Amino acid sequence: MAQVINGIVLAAIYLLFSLGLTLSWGVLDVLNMAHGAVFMGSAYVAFVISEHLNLPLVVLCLIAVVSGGVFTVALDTIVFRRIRGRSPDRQHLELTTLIAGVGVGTIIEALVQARTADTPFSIAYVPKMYHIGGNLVTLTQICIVALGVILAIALGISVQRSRFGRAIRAVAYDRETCGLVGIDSRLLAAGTMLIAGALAGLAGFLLLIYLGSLTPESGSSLLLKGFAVIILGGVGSIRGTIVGACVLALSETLVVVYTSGTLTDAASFGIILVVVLLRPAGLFPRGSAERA
Amino acid sequence: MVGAGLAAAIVVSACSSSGTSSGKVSASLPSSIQIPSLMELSGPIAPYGQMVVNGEELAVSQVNDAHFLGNTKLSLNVENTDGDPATGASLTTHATANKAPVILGSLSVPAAAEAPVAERAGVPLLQFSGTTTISSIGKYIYSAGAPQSGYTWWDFKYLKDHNISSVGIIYASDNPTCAGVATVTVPALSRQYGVPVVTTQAILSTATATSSVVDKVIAKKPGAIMVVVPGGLNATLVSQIKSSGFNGLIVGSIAMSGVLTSLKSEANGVIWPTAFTVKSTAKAAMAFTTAYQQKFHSLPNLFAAQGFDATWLIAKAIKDAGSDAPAAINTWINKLTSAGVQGSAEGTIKYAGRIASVPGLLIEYENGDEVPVPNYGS
Repeated sequence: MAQVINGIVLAAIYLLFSLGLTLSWGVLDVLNMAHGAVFMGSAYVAFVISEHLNLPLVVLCLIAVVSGGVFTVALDTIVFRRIRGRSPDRQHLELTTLIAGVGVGTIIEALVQARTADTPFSIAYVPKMYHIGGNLVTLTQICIVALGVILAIALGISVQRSRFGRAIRAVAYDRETCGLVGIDSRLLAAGTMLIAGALAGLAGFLLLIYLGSLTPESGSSLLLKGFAVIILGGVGSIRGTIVGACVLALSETLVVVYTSGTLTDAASFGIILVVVLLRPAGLFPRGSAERA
Repeated sequence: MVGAGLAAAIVVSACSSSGTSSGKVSASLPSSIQIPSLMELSGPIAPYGQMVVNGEELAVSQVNDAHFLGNTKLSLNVENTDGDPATGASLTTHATANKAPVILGSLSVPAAAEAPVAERAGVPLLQFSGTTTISSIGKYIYSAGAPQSGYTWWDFKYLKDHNISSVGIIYASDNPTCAGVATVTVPALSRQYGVPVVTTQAILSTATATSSVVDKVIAKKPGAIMVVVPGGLNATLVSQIKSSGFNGLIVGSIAMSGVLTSLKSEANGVIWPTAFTVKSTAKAAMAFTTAYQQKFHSLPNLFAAQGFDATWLIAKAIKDAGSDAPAAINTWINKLTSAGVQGSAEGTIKYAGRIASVPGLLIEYENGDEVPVPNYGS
């Protein structure tokens, strides 16, 4: 039972991290390689503030969320938007965006490495513990799972049914035509990146509290898992991201329980390889009109 | 100006081997000798690499300030391997082509690529990797950074002394040093000290699914949990073990040094063995710490001590050889290390099969401080 809880919590972490990635990739065609660095950098901002001010955990969490949103909007405004405006074709746009994301992510990571001397950082917090079905469950674990489920459902409904959601799906389908009918694609892109970044900030903060500490490299190691989740589920699909996160997390947990932790990456990515070979567009393939 | 601590360090270091190093300086030495120092100065290991280089630079400045080699001045040519074996091998090729008399090698994976090149060229290489098999490449290759496998026994002595009946192991299987300690050193120590290992669980250094591994180990009800993983993963695992309700002892490796501070009092009571601490009361260690603080305005660590001791060893070998010829220097490094190098910052360094071994001591984490455990090597 304890391992089932571990698997569910891990799935929620992967989900929170991947939702922002799938949103920016699915809607804006931005394969944001700096997402991991934003995830870690937002948690680091909360940590730095916690060192100077005695703030409640909820406030620190909000600081991380806002930091993630601001980082990503700034990244989009300063870097990605310029690339979108100057790229001669889609292939060039994707490649340049990818490299720019790697560059920004590396800079953020290096700055935090320099500030921390590459040592872990953490926020002192002793979580409340509950006995559920004979197992110890922490308040952090409950929050991670609850937020993962609530935000995934809210995002899914919002993208499918709200005016904002319809607009971003329209932009994903045809940005130029959207401009002709009065949709401000720049504002919409900024809004999408704000949500993506805020989700990264939230995931970073929750993982910091859950694991007890993060290192400057924590975001990089999670980035590959995030891409695996959205490729497994289908790029731009919220439902696919939920399923992808669950498959990856539960397969990793099962591998640890029944074999060895050495095999976690090999086994879980092996499963993804099989899925991608059989269904190249992922478990829930979406056309560009349906994305997100 | 040479401060009191610096002067003490020079005195201790210059007289510190059981061999010689106290005679006159040969007139045949050139006016300057440049030693290539190949080190990871970028990437995740860079902070440790920089500390090794700092230690080397401190030793060089002491050698020169004290005219230890007469009118001959030592200098370092520091090159960045970037943690890349190909770069390490290439820099070694370049160094040997430029007739380097001796090379200070890397801290991690590049060391294994540097060693065959140095061996073929017949140039002594003192490298700091924890992988002991590198020194078996040939008679010019030395493991100057004492492998942690040599002082892990302090963990087991403590477990036995405190009647802890069993231990569960979590180790990073993708890190050769950690894997070696967990799968070779620990089973032998377990038998020697009569503390059975109830489970050994592997984890990847980049793992996020840490709680699954922790719960799997706790389910075996060990009296203590030993964590043998690199860097920041130590803090994560200690935090996860504590929050899983485990009340037993947590023991670890040298990689815990400096990384648990972020956990504040949560990590209190965690112990690990080390080869050097700034809290050491040994004369040479205190002198080194003082001199390091004067030069760099910060505290040294084990890596700085290793760089310092290795560079002093080279200086002594050059002096005793009275030559900057690689073969002559190698002969004297061999003689000095065979005798055991006393008075080093790390204590008396003994070499077996060109692998350094130090006495070591046990450290306990206490509210952000790393305190030597009384009667365990301190």
